[in-house]
Amino acid sequence: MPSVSLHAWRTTRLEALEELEAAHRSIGGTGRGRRYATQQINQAYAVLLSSQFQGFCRDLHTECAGHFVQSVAGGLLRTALRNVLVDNRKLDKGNPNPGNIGADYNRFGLSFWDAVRNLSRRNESRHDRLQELNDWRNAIAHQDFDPAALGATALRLQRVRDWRNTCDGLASCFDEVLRSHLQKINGVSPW
Amino acid sequence: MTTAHGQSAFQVGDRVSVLMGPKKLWGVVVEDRGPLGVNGRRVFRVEIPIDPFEPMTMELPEDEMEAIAPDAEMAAPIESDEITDYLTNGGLISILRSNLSGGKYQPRAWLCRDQLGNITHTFVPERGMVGGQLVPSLAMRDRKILRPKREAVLSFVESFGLNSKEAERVVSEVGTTP
Repeated sequence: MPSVSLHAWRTTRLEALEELEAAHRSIGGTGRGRRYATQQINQAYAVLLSSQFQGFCRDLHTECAGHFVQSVAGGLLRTALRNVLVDNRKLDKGNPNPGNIGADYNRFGLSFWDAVRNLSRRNESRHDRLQELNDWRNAIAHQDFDPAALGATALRLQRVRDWRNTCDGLASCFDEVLRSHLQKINGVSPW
Repeated sequence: MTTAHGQSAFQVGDRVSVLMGPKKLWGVVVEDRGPLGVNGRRVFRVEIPIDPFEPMTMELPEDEMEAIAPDAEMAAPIESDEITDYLTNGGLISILRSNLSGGKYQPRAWLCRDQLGNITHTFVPERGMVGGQLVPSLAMRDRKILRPKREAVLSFVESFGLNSKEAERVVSEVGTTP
């Protein structure tokens, strides 16, 4: 059974992304007008993907905080610890880049990205592709496309789909790493 | 606090109380985070005022919050001797320090009660109980009121409901500087 956050990622969050796939398909023609319109949709798709993945990461963090404090006796101590875990999270304000994700999840007492990489060798390249997605998100948000940093100025649909697969793979791995970590702490699987 | 349909009775904007040790603090629900708590309990983000500073934000499962009736009396009225005591003991200087630049966006200040029932000041109209005037700009230095701004500060102090005699007493106790 997955976490509530992973379930939401696989259902409502991915459904929202499907809307942009559908929008892309609905644009007809072969001229330059189509290329411009699809470029805008690809950019919107990348930004939405990044924001949905941020939502997933933030949800999973909240979910883990609730389970993490389960083993703490005493209402005040539990509330205080939960505050320390969720207060001023980078994911509440910043992009879901690997640095922000690691900083927030390390609060649970693990070396998060090491654990994620340890779960699957594929996560090394997923880590890099997630950074790439967030670089593009920033470039789109600020309309500042530096080909030296991004490798291109146009964004192709296939590239966004690759990032989507990356996020999907990472979501499952994050869920598993934290499930296993919380089980070690509490003695029972959180989900 | 969950209804038969799994929807929480709490809504964004509701006032709630939260138990922190022996003390109950009050706050406002600012986000419904969904059923992310243990055993699917609904989690809410609650903003707890700690005026005059930025509010503290907490995430809490619904069973650790209690609703406060919308018409509930939140705080006892503020008496004039409490106001003079607060303003003379650092409150006025702290308020004046908030406007050391002047310009287009200048703060307004109110007095209110903090989470423990003591007097403090706020820049948030919804939480203000008395006051609401613009804070006189560039009116303090070295924890004293600048003499050229004395009249503006007197008028500002009176806006908290003090009479002119009480306001004079506050200003003279805080002191002035050329």
